[in-house]
Amino acid sequence: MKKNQLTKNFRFATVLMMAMMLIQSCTSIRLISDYDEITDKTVTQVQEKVSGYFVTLERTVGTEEGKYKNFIETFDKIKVDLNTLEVRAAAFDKNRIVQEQVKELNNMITKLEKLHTLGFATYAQIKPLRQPFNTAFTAIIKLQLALKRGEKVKNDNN
Amino acid sequence: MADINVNEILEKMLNAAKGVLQNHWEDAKPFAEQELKSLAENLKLISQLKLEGKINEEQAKYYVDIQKSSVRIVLLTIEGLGIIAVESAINAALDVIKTTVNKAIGWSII
Repeated sequence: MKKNQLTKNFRFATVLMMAMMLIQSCTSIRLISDYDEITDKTVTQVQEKVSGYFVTLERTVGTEEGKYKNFIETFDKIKVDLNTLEVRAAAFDKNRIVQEQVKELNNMITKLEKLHTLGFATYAQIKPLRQPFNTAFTAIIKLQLALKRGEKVKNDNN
Repeated sequence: MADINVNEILEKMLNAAKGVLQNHWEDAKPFAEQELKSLAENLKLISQLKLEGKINEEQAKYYVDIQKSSVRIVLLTIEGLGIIAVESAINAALDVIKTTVNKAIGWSII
């Protein structure tokens, strides 16, 4: 009888503790990664480098100066930033969306480099490229800004 | 080779996106409409480059891949904004009952 009572008490305590843990874990629900300043800044750095790349390419397309060999260093620098982003994004919990965005951005740069190695002869070949990059960066930064606002709300509540 | 009609392919893409996004469509609409319009216009530019003999099939695939990745990034942002909205709603709901529940239980558990 006493043993039964002890078992009941133990069960009750376990259920109570689990309920408390559940409630406590719910005090601030987190469904997506927190804002990361380094990710935000690195995305902006990549955007600036890609923007600079297009400005130079548009000016020099069809000339010796516009050839791929003169842009290898720019691509290398962009790849270093992308690697930083990749590592950074993988280090955070619940960061699938940012990780996938970085993967897609990486793919865009890879394909841009392949196109450049094949050669750009006229401005018409560059025209359909600038907009998707602008769109991609705007979308990534838009999410980062939204995460930043979420972070501010959390800090205000604490 | 037939020319690409921007309005026609835009309408098809918008209908497809609307069908998939369903309840989230109203939130995503301004962003999605603008980006899908750009995608349709760029697909036309790519087809023109082909018509003018300025790109080959390999290059065309790279152009389209870049466009596709860009759209995926936009859709991921729409998904992320939706998650942030849900997260904020849940936390706001918990915040509203915080004082009442803590007072009733006698412990500061929320």
